Amino acid sequence: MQRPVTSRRGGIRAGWRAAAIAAVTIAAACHAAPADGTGGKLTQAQIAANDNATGERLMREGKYAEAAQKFEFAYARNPVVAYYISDCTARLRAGDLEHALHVCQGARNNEPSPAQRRQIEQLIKDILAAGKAQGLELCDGCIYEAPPDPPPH
Amino acid sequence: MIRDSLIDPQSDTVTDRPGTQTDDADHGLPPAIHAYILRLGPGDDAALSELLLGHRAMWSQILADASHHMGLAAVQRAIAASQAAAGGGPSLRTISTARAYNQAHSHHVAVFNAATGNACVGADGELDPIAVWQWQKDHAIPHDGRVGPQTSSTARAAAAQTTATAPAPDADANANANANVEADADAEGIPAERMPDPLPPEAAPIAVDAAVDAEGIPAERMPDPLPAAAAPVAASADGIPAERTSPAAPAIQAPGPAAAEDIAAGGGATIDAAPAPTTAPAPPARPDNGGPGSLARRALDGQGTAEQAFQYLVSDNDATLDKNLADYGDIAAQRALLDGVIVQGADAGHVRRAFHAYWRVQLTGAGKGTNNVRDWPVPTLQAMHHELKVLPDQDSRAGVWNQLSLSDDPRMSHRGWYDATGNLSLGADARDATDSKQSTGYFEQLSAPARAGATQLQVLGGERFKVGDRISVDGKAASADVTTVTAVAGNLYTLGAALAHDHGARAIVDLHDGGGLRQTSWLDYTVRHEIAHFLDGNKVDTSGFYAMGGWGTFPSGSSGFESWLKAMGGEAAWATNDGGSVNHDDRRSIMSVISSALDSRSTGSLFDKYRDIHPPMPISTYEHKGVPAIEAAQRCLSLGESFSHNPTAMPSINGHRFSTSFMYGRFQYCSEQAVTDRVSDYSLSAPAEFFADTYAMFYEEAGKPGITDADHGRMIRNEQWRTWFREHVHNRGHGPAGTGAAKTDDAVAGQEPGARPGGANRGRSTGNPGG
Repeated sequence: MQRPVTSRRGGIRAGWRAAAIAAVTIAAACHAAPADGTGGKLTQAQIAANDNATGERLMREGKYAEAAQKFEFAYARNPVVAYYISDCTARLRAGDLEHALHVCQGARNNEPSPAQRRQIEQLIKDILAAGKAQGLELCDGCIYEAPPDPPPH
Repeated sequence: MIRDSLIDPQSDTVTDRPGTQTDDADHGLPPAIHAYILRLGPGDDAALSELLLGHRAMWSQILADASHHMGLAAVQRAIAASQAAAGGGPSLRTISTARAYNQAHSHHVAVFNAATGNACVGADGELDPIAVWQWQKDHAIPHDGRVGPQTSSTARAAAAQTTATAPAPDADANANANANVEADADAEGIPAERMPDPLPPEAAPIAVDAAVDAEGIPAERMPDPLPAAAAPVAASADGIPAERTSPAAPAIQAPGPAAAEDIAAGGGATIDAAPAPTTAPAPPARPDNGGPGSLARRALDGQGTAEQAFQYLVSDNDATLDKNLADYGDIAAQRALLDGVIVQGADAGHVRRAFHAYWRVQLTGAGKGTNNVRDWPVPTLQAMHHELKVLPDQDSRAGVWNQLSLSDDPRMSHRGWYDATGNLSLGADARDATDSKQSTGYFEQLSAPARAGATQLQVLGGERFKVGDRISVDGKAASADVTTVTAVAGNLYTLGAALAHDHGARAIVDLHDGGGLRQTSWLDYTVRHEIAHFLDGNKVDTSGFYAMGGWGTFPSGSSGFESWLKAMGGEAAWATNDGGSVNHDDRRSIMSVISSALDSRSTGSLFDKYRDIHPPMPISTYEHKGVPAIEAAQRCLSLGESFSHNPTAMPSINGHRFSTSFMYGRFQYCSEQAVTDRVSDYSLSAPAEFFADTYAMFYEEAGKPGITDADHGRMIRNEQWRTWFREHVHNRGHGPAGTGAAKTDDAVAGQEPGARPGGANRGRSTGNPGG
């Protein structure tokens, strides 16, 4: 059954708000921290926080695809669950549903908090609903069997 | 029964099967045919008939050879059946069906034999279906070799007519015989008034014969005439409300290849206890209360087909279908009837309902283009039904599988898959893949030509054979070489003797002494494989088998990746080629990049995506530092889903073969033995596939002629694996069995009741140990 549109939008917004709050908090903490032991160079966590901040700005401007790339770079440097959630949300808004699903699944594998886990599950539901509305067969956890061994020639 | 995969008429070689006998007498036959005959017994006259028809040039040699192993009576029956089929008489299938029918209708046979003076009884004392077929033809009634009420009453009428014109002594004899028969019938508890009234002998045959003459269609392929008792007129006469009667749709006898090979009606992995299916099963003995079940039984009593009987039971409402089936007979009788409907395949809608009730699964159309369950092709359902029946009930009816879905999603082309809700799906191109074959067995292919005199072979897969194995190169060709493996190094085999012939790239190299390359049905394999997935972790604790493959699997994410690296050697996996080590800040980033690549199913380079990033991404910094953790991941991820077809490319570290599974989104490793003893390349995809493919091979021969319970698994090379399957899967005990329509949602527009739209949804995410 397809979810009502209003409910789906609400789910996305709720996920995005929470993710943004978490990300801003982490970014602020990272900026405040001294770059100890790095000779003044930024740590990977600090660079990631900057990427995340850029991603947030792009999100606010409605540039979802560009924002998604920044979030991806952020968690590529520092696997913070909030960055994954932001990326998942941005990709969902950009309509990149299959990739959004993979990112959310990745978030689930990085030890999210219970609240984050709920966000992730809601996002996945929204992605699947959006996919269904578009006629896409997205599946969370389906095993797609590969073809058998190629026949000899 | 002959299967092309068993005997290759172009070849003189026995298809590689461990334990296949080759011998002996001067039979003058190709070894494959002789080996096949060796497996035939006294009850396999139908199989011998097919062999004779398929190899007419070797008729006398086959008969001479078969007479040693099968007994004279079986050989005589086979000769008669073959001659009849070849000479325009009843087909082998008609004969086989008629024999089963007659054995189940002894009361009609007794009447018939008495009336005809045993004129159609064969040398073995049993009614000869061919003779009956001829007798029916001579008496202008539908000729199918089966003796039901119409044939027996026609015989009685003919006998009475003869009696009226014959001298007194003969008339007395016939009268006495008939009296005895009627007494027998009474003794069987079948009151005369419950016996269906046969059609007048003149009525049906005129129409049938006219049709045959007009169109030249053999009688056995013509629609069965409706039995008198099943006709709405008869029902009305019995006072049954019209609304309980089914419309009399013509039943088309259209047995396909699946029907012809259908040899295990009752389920089970051997044919020993499985009666041959028939499209006209014997009706169960129950009091006639005029209900749907009684009407169905009357239809069968009146020589009707399963399809004709099912018309009184079928319903779009699952509860009604269940109720009607229960009214018809017990579970065994229900299955026999449903089996007949599926095998007969006369009405696609009825086949789907029968399949649904037989296996307790919902048929679903899913995705674009297949929103309607009516897209399910009957031949596919028949083929799946056949394969499911030859598996043990404890597996095919384990209760986990509950939905059969069809998908037109182009990404799923030529695939079958399952999910944790119990849904088995077939993708585009797979729904009518009943003839699709796949290569099975222990084989390799040359990656480069091998010339005469060469002592080494370069192959595509690698590490499939062991030192000491006897292998064939181009084993099916005249230029075959048979030699012994003396050394294995990845994709390179060293041979004990130089090749005598040239062999081209892609030439087949396979085990010479059994277990080598063979072509098997893709759909059959898929059914077995997916049933295994449903058992895995639900009905069978597979952890012991996974352990035999040395499997460890871990989810993506930092903790899973760390566990994977620990198996590689822990800290050593972070060493750089300049004697240093990856710093801890960078390790987190590298783990994240690799995990994300796995999550997003990215293939290709781990580095390209980040080349122009500033400050540089840590993974880029260490690109040329020879870090084992990065190199192993790069090698696995670059292969994508096809990594299992390149087993020797999987990094070998610490006695394990490391890989990543896009399908399951896991980091994983297996033992060296899992690679060298693999039943297929695909079995290296994940531990669940390791189990499923080994299961598929364990039951590969189930249901084939001559295969006994003890034969299952003999195709599996690794004795420990074989034994584990026998003890933990095959001999684990039987699960619940049953038939009937499962609970379903209400009908949805465009779907039949019992069918749900939606297709694949949530599936199993892991299920593997070690995570």
